[in-house]
Amino acid sequence: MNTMQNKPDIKEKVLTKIGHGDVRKRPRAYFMAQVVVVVAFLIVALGLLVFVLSFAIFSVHESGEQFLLGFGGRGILTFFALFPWVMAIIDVALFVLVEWLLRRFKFGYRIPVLRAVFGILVFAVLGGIIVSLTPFQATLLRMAKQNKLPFIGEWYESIYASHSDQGVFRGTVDSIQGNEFVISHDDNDRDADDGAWTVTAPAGFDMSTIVVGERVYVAGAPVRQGVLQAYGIQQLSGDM
Amino acid sequence: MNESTDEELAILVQGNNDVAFGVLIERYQGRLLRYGKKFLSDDDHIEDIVQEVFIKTYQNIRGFDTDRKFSPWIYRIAHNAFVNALRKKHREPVISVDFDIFTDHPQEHYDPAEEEDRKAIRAVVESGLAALPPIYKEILVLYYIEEMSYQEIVDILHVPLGTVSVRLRRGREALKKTIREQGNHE
Repeated sequence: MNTMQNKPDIKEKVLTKIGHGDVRKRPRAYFMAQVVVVVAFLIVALGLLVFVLSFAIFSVHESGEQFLLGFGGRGILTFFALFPWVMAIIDVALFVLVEWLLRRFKFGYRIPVLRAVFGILVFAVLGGIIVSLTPFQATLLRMAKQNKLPFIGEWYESIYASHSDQGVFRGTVDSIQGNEFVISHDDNDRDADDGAWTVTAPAGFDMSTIVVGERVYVAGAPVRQGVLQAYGIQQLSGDM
Repeated sequence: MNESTDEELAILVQGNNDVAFGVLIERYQGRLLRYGKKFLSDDDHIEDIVQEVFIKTYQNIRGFDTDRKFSPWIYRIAHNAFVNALRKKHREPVISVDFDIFTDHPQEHYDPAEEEDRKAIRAVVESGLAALPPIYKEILVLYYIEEMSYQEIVDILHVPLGTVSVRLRRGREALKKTIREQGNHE
């Protein structure tokens, strides 16, 4: 059989469709718009990635939860229990989105995934730390307290949420006696854990660091209503 | 027009020269049919898929960057079309999670006799290809049969250069094993 007879007439079919106007070239503007949209999504996703990470850092610092890491094994476990995991999940999703968007570009698919992931991670962590060091997050927190921050105001209000169920208390020192001191715990939710708590300091704790009138962060276990055996105590600074 | 490069023809098509597109079809029709036949059977209407590839090429021609080579660009469109056809046929991912794209791989270089090797190996590749998994089959076809460079394969498959290199080596090893097994059976 002749090869020419076997050869499908693709050229004729395609050119006929083009000639009849069934197939049209997309305008250059379409491709430019596509690039602009992808770049815009990339910038927004990177911005959100940095913002969410900076919020998580700010939240852990502002709530005092970072002190738990210095309170030994129980403190570390409590830290992970209180960690803003929702933020972490949002960040992972944004991370995947950024990686996917990057792969649409020549420079994106030409580099190995792990190297790209490392690059995004460095960018996000550095960006998150830098933003958390600026007054940006504190300004948003202030706006949330004044009910002037729509959509994400609740995120900021949750920074000071009560975690007494996890044995974590914040309060002002009212009096000190021996290795015990009394704090007035008030997490603004008017529930059973509000009021005075007598805190027994852990063995070897330097009680000279506790000052009447100052705020402290206490992690421990309630022995009975109003009495707390602490395994970690830290002074709070500023308006924490 | 027949002496023009693919890229020069693509510039003409980007204007309004459909005759130039006809020349591009003539140049690539046979190559894309051959490429498709390495993955799909005649029952899969390869001609229809290749026709669709040319239609997509025409529709998107103004998105082609004429500073780059045309062949990897049209092969990329063909790769996507064939992968989609395979996916429909098997109803499962043709290439699942490819861990080779995750890490850096040192690029393996050939000696100057590589071109000669390539021609000699081509016949061997044709004979042992059918038994290979698609992930190796495609890279061997692109390198040995379509005679694409590593960099062109990077732009067709959208994988890093090191991945092309390592996948090609593994493809050759898989091919050797297949041919050895075929020899034992005969």
